[in-house]
Amino acid sequence: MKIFGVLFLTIFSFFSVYATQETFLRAHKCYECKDFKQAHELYAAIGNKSAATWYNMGNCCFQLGNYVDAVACWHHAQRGASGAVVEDIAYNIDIAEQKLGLEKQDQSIWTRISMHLKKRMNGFSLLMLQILFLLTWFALFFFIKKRKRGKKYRSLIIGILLMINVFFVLGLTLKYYDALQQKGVVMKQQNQIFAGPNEQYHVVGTLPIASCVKIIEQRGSWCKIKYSQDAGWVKSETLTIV
Amino acid sequence: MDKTVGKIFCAIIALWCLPCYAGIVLRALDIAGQPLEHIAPGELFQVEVTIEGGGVSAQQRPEIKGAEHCYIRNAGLMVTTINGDTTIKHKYRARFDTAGVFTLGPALISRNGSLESSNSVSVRVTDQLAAATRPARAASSGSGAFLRFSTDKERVVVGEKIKCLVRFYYAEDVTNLAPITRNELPGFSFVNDVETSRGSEEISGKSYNYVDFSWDMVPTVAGKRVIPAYHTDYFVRSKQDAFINHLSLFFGHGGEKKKVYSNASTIMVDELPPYKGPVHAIGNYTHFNAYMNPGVAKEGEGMVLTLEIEGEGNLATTHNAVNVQLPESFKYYDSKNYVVDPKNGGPSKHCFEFIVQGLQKGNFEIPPQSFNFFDIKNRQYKTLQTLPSTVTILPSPNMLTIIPQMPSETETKPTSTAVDVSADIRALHSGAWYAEQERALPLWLLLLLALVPVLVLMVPVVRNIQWPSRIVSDPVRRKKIALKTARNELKIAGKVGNGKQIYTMFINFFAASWDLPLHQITHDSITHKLQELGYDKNELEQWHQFFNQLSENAFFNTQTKPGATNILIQYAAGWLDRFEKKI
Repeated sequence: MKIFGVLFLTIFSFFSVYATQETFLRAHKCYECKDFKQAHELYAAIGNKSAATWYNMGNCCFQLGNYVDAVACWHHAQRGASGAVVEDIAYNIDIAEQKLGLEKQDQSIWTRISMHLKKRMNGFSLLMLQILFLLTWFALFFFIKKRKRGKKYRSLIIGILLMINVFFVLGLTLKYYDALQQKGVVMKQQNQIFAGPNEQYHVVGTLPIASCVKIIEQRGSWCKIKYSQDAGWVKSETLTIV
Repeated sequence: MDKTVGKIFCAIIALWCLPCYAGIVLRALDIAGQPLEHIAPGELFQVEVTIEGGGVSAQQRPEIKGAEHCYIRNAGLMVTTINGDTTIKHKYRARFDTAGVFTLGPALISRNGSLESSNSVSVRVTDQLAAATRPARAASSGSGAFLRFSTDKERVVVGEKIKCLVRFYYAEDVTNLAPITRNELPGFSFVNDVETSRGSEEISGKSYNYVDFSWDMVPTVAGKRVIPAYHTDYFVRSKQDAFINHLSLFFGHGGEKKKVYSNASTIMVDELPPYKGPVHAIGNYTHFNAYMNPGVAKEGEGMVLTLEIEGEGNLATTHNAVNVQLPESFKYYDSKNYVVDPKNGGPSKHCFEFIVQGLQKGNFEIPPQSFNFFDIKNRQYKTLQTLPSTVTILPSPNMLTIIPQMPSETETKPTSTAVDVSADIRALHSGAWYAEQERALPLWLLLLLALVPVLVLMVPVVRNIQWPSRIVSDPVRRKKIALKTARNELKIAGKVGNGKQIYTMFINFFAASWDLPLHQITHDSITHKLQELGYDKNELEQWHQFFNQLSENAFFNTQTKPGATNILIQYAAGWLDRFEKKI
């Protein structure tokens, strides 16, 4: 009986996986046939969506004219995306923001540096970064401990290894920071930012629609967010957490 | 006879001892203290209640009948006693806000358990006070200044602007004038701040200077509205002593402070007649024009639509925006409103600007725009309309052919409206459909592995640290460490090939093992210690020879034979092994 149950579950999971794979491909087909609504529904039916699934959903929303939903889906896709997908996501978000008439914000120098580093790290997965970091780290200490007679070359090698290590450390820091950071996309026009988690607090600013904010804290039905230089509380229902 | 005269005399004395005529008197006076003839609505006057005779406490206030029809306020109390007779005078300031004839009094007090009443006075309150009587009254009261309040209209509709003017006339030496306090009036709202100006005027053959305070206000409630009298304080230079007056100018206004009141005014406010449709303003407007600039634009490009209304009225105060009529495929946004005042003194122009976008290509007619207002001159509603105009929208390559639906506040699901495919966004991705869990080392493992080379580097350093307290407290450990150090130094000496260090090595070894300072380690002390440890004569002799060789090697510049250093090192290692057993 137990064996039968295990066998049944195995076959069931195989077919369910197979069915989901088929859904994904069908959604692709619908998109190519310009049936964007059907394609969106099929992508939405997939559980545990990958970056590619979210990205494709975003494309469907964009084609249907729902630019805000498209931006939210693309921000979802940024988690776990790598390589060419990341570039495409950033490009598409720019297009959608232009359609919504959003102005590009001035970015601080640290934001620009981190975005530049992220682009460079696109091709590295987290495991690869960790392994490369450990290798260069061990190599650095090996050369520090080893006392060869050629001191000139030793110093050069140590210097190079140190720089590479710093690069990998920065990359790891960005990866971990992105993984821990919670973000949200504003779904409401001119969403108000309050000074506290209640509408009775005074309004400290407004958020443009489809803007991506950092979520610092959640309290009941309110979220504390940070956007550009503004920080405050907004209602959770006006955000889509990505 | 004598008895009769005596009785009459006693009666006269008794009558004389009795308190004098005890009574209560009510009087109405103007502000100057003169008997009141007639008064304007809102103008203040004085009421005095005089109580003569004893038996009444000064704290007891008389009850004045008819005071409920006016605004009355206590202005003071005066108590005088002459030859035992007490007179109490209660003073009040009062004001009637409506016209008519009013009766004040009687005033009632309780004296020795019984109620006493005074006389009544009749006060005549007139609507308007003629300007001619004011200077006469001012002159008769000796003040030489008076205040006049006037409005440009007596009958208006709700929302119609009224110009108010308070003019302060003065003929004497006024050193300072307090500004008019414009109190809140129920049923009116003020349009602007008080403006002041000066001038002079001749009244009844006499020349007066004046200061004007003017403002505009708008009635918000229909009915008969009374605007109470205004008042102000001013200072007059005293004629008594010019020297003191000049001095007092340094310390303040200088002179005598006086108060002056104006007349009140009544305005009839009518309701606006009913009208089907929005009423944009009340006033007198003559022209209404609309301009679209530019007249030709591409799809999605912004144009400016300006609506210009010429005339006077309450358009600036009203919040009813002018309704803009545009074709369906146009979108518009509020831009700005401003007023253009013409330089040659003509009527001002109110301008409303809108940003307009045409979302579809083609030629479109902008329909006439309507402006409804209540003409206050003719007391009827009027509509002004602009002329229709034509706008051409050219196709734009970047615009979509169908209007895209903007997401609403609550909409989260896509609609069924499809739009043309835009080639702008990147193509689909066909990767894994499920979210792969990213394989990675746990953070704690990563940090642990990163610490490994650091620890490896730190171990020799930690090991070479000589912990003084432990060495001192534990002799066995001290000796072991000394022996280990000696062997290490011997090894180094062997590698380097320097036999001279062996002497120093043994000195340090003995000093560390026996916990003695270096200067106490001599040949004799070493021999003595070795004797104590139980070394026999042969061994001591061998040691003596070996140590001498070491000393010679260390301190004398002898050319050693090849291999001699190695032999020394071997002997030294052998001696260290021997010392390990006994030391």
